[in-house]
Formats: sequence, structure tokens, C-alpha cells
Amino acid sequence: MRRHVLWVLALLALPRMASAQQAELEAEADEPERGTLIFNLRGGGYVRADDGYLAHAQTFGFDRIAQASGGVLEAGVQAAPRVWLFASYSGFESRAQRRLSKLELGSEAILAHVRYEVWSWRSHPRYPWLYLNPQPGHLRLALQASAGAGLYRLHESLDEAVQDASAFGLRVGGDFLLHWHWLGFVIGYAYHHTSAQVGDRLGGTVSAGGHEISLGLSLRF
Amino acid sequence: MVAAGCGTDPLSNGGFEIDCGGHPCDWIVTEGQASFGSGWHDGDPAIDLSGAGRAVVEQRAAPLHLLERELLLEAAIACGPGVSLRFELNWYAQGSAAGATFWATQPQLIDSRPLTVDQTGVFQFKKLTASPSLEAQGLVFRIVKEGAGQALVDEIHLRPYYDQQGGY
Repeated sequence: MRRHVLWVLALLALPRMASAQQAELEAEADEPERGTLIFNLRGGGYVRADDGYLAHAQTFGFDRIAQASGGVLEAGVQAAPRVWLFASYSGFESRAQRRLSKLELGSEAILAHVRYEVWSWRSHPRYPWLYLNPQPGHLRLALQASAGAGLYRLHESLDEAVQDASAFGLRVGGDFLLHWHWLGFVIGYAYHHTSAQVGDRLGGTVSAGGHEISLGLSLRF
Repeated sequence: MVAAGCGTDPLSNGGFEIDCGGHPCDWIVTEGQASFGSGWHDGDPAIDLSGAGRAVVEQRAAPLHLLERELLLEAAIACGPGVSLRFELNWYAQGSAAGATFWATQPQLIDSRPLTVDQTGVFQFKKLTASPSLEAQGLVFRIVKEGAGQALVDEIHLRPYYDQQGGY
């Protein structure tokens, strides 16, 4: 009889224990994550802001100079709930060859950004039926809007004729991040605006600014 | 010797990159003011016919071995609104005089075929033309500019038309 009473008491206590564990997991999942780091390495394409230069280059035989490719390396830290501070370096280059002549356009940017998490979602013990092992924060999705500023440089050369320009500029964009544990994926768009530009002899200009689309690896610690 | 066979261009140095002692090989200014300097870019040479008045630049090519009469003339042009620009293709047959070169044989002019540029701005000019005969063995190619304003010409090519159609 005494043994049966103990069994009944144990059964009655189980939901309470499970509920306490659930509450602990939920609290952990809801904690702000200040100090979390993100490193992104991405590759992508760049469409330069242009006022006639690229068309002139193509007319005079330098096809495909408009298509720039390159990469972005960036590191960020979560400074406050939803707010991240990032520093980035990016380089994009395009080349076109006409017989022995080579036209090259290369742009670089060193920028600081503030990113705001417009939307985020992560695996949560409130929804354990979604996961086999519902640890908080295993899977994270986030949509970040960003604004940044920094130094832009544009280098242009056609054989021995070289032009360089550098100037301050601004960047606005959006990124989508998906992380499973510490490993993740990022895809983003950014528009760069800067007065760093070079020109041709017919009045055409091309800028270090433009539209950037990139995707790549993201690490979160 | 210049041959116009499969995929070859009877004109040479159409990009003005081959230098013959300070000026581009095969091209000469025969009338007015023209210079061989920077084109659309400081690193890309071209013919600059800008300025007032008439200017003529020419190249002579011979002997030709044409396999097709239909030819496509291409050029990259920057042309101001006050400028009139045209290309003249003067086709010659070999002369009967004794001479060490084709042009020393007193060649006979078969036909002169102009191609007028009817566009302004920066553009790629493309126009079909034809040699009067496959027996034409000499070509005097002229660029004639009249009026005042900017006139840059570069990347001049005269190719058999079938090449452009992915031909033989």
C-alpha cells in the first residue's frame, strides 16, 4: 500500500518537474545574446553605378567589363538586443580583354555598419514537436537591415593608363542569415553610394558604388 | 601581303595599336587635320578627326584575295552632332604597267563605294558593303570627315559577311 502511494506521488510530480525544465529552457532561449560574434565570408556580383563609361568601353571592344565579381569579409558583434555592429572589407573586380589590351576595374571598401534584426526566429522549447532534440537556439533565422559608411576606392587601368579614386561612401542593405548551431549561410543585397569615380575621354563615368548581391558562409559563436 | 581569306580582314591595324615609329602603321592623313592619339580612353589609341573642316585618313591594302564579295564594315565611333562622317572604299584591279608593288602597276579603279555614317553619339557602326568583283586586288580605304565637332574612330574592321553568320 505504501509503495502504491509513492508511485502515485511520483506520477503527480512528473508534470511539475517537466514544466520546471521547460521553463528553464524557455528562459535560456529568451536570454539576450550580447557579445555573440558573427563572421561572414561571401562571394557575389556587383553592378557598378555608371554614367556612360561601361557602354563606351563595350562600344570600343571591351565586352564584359560590366560584370564584376568579388568577395566580402565581415565580422560583427551583437551590441544590444537586435542590434549588431559590423566591420567589413570587400573587393570586386571586372576585366575585359581586347587582343593584347586589358581593361581592369577594381573597387574596394572598408566599412562599419550597424545592423538591426528586423525579424528573427530560432528553435524554441515552446515548440518541441518541431525538433528531435529541442535545445534552444539550435536553428536560427534572421533578417537584418543595415546601414554603414566607410572608405571606397576605385582603381582602373587600361594597359599603362591608370586612374585611381577614393572617397567616403554609404551603404544600405539587407541580409538573411540561417544558422544551425555555429554554422550558417548568409545572402544579402546592398546598395553602395560614393563619389569615388573615374571617367573616360568621352565624358562617361563609373563609380565604386553600385548594387551588390552576395551569398556565402556565416559562422556564429 | 594582305589576304582576305576565311575570317581575315583586308584592313590592318584597325585598332591603331601597332606603332611604326610614332604613328600607327598603315594609316596616313591625306587631308586636313587629324591625329592618332588617345581615343575613348587615354590607354586606347584611335583616329581623332575632331576640329573644324574636312579631314581624310586612308589606308591602302593590296593584293587582296577575296573569297566573298559581301563584307561587313564595323567601327567604333564617337561623333558630334555637327560632324558628317563617311567611309569610302575604292576598289582597284591590277594595272598593266611594270612595277615592284601592286600600286606601282597603275591599278585601275573599278568602283568607289561610300558608306555614310548617319548616327551621332558613341556607337558601334555596322554596315554591309560589297566589293565590285572578286578580282578586286587593291583597296584604298578612306575615312572622310566634314563639319566641326568631335569625331573619333577606332576598331575598324572589314570582314567577310559569312564570318558574322557563323560561316565556314
